[in-house]
Amino acid sequence: MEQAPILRVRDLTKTFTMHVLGGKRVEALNGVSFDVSPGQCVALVGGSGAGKSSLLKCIYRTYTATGGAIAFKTASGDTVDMASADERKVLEVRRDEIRYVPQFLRAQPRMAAVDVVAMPHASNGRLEEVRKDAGAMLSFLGIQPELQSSYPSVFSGGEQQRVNVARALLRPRRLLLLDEPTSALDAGNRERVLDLLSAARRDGAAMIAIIHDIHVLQALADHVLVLDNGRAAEFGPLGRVDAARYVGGQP
Amino acid sequence: MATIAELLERSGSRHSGYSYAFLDETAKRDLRRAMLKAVAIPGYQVPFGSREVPVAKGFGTGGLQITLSIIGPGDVIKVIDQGDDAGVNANNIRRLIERTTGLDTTLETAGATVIQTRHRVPEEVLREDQVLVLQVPYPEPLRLVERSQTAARTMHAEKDYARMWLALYEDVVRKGEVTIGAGYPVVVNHRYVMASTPVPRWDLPKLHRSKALHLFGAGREKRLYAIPPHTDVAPMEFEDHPFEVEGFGGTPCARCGAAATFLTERLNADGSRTLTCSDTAYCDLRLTGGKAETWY
Amino acid sequence: MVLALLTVRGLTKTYGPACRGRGSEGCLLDREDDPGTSSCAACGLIAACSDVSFDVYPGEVLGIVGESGSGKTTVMRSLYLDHMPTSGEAYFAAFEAGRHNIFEADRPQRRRIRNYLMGIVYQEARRGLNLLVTAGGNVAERLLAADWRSVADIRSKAADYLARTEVPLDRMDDFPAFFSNGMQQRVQIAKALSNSPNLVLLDEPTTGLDVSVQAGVLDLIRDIRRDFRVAIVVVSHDLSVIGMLAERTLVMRHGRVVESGLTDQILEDPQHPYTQLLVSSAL
Repeated sequence: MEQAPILRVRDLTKTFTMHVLGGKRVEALNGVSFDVSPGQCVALVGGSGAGKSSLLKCIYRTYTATGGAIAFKTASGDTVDMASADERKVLEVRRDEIRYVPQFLRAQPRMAAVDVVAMPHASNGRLEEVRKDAGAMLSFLGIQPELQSSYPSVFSGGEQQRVNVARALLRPRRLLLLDEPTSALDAGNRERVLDLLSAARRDGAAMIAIIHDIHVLQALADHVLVLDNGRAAEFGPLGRVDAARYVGGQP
Repeated sequence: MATIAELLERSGSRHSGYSYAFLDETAKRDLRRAMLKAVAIPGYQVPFGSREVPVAKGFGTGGLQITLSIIGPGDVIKVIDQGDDAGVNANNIRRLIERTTGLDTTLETAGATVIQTRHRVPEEVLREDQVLVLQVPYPEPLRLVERSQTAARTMHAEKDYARMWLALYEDVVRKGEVTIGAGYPVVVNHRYVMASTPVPRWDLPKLHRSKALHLFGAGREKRLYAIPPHTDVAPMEFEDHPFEVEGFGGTPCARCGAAATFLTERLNADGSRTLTCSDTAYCDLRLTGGKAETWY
Repeated sequence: MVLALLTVRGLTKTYGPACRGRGSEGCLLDREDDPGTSSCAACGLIAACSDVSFDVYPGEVLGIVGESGSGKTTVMRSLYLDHMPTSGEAYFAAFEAGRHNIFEADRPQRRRIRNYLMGIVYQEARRGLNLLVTAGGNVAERLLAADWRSVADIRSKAADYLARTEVPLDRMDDFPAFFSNGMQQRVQIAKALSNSPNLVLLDEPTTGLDVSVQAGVLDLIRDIRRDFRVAIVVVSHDLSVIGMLAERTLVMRHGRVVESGLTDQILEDPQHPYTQLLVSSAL
């Protein structure tokens, strides 16, 4: 039985007006609608410039939607429209419920990897405890303890990405927005990250993930949203959408 | 009530043409009004219209104006300078008072009703019927930390003494103790910070709950203030760096042998130096076998 | 529902008399949009800041960004009651339970707000510190104002704060006049934090510092925010400083707030032409 959606996106439109360029308007999203339920993972696919990142950022409210609604159902049963909610409400939802994992780690400079992972969760428990869990998760992802006390700015791309994922997954969140979560990883680390993400799904987390790798898509996603030039070209269960047309890699 | 003319005649003033006690009655009334206010608000600096007196500014004109305003028939005046009745300045002021009032003067602390002083509080305990008038050069204790008089007055009004405390803290931190000697700041009646200027620390405990009225006058700065009898006077001090009076290493007075008085260095004819009592009246009293209640 | 710690409404600070509509184009103060200038063409009035409104919530960091002359510092000095605004209101939860406008506080109340309820760090250390009072003494001043009377207790408390802000304790009894700029800022921060204020105002706290020193001070502010759970308003012309510290940001220009929002939204999806210019001009 399918649960009620945790997120309903309706007619989402995002247009950038670039005043610096004489008021030039760029349409990033145009009338996008879809739902995500707890435990589901929607893969976002489409060519570059199709609007995938814009969609994630609109849901997270890093971009302010130009039109439409992004109705998020909170744990307490309220519905928050991320397109129009006030800043305080958005911050609250970000703190407790939605986590955005950008493709590249944007961490506070000069902070040890273990703290980068632990700090966003410090308010949900004793710091020492959170830090211990952060260390364990980093170790699971192959970041050795001696590396955990170094600054991530000196890490390789793959190491940074694992720190990024660990930071998102250390404590359960009800909706994860993932921008190519495994793009910089080798096969072994990719499997570990996918294991973690699958476990989060089984625990009920909903996910929207930009995926460019058919293997990752098949391992993680159960729905596919195809974006084409800012519009939702196709949306449906994995089997019914020919995702392979839009992503690389061999099945 | 005697008229002024009668007072003058009775006093046998040799300077007819001058008012009794030199100042005109309006001036005295003005000063007395300021004094009443000062007594009502212990430690608060009251502005007053400082008059010209035949003494140069800086030589005790504030104290002199107070003295001249409060004395009358029956008073006995003592004037001391640095504890010494024989100082030039003390002699001049004493003579002025004698000539303009005809009052008796004395060198003995116990025999005086009004004592005008610079730099010292007598070693003998004062009584309810005595008034000590102190000559003050700088009435504003906050001048150490605040140059603007207006700002300083606002600080007093708001009891904002943090910067004064900070100055004392800095002194302790950098020199190990509060180094202010004469003019150590005190808190009067738990409210106003007051300059005890310019008496030495030695004399500060004598101000606390004294039976006598203390009046402070600064002629050049045109301010006067008061400590009424039985008023609490506390030096500004830290719990762990309590206020201490000067010590003389147990040296007794070379003249009278007193073990606990404020001593001053005197140059002898042969060029040697000895420490003797700063309060010469008390020293003389001891030498002549007299007895007096002291603070110690 | 969390109540705001500080609510500012219509904060305006002008210099010179206002014409208020006597000129043909109307007074600068009556215009709703960004007038493109801080000075009224009709009457010559200068509006250092005009009609600025915002809220600060407990424990959050609010950024104010804008070029020099945009009114950021005027807002800060008004909040710290360094000067009185021409009009406007500010309600501070720590003062009279937020029922009274702090701009109408009397002098002792203002002193209490400045000494106990708020702390400030100025861009120029000489404004925030007495450079001829020891580093420890500068921190001690606020404690002395709060009636601390034991030199040992004051010293140990001041040493706590100085250690917390990474000022070497062997410099505690030295004059800040002889400190590096970065160290002076650390002493200012220690002073601002003494007496555990509810709100700390940072006015360009890292401007003018060498890059490495700036990084150290930013890290310190970040740690302090975490450890002291104090609300912070930080003013900077530097978007990267704001991006690192603030969750929400106001953009000011010509004395007005032209845009406000979540900091990541301001940086990635700026709406106002000026904000777009600011973001696109960042290095």
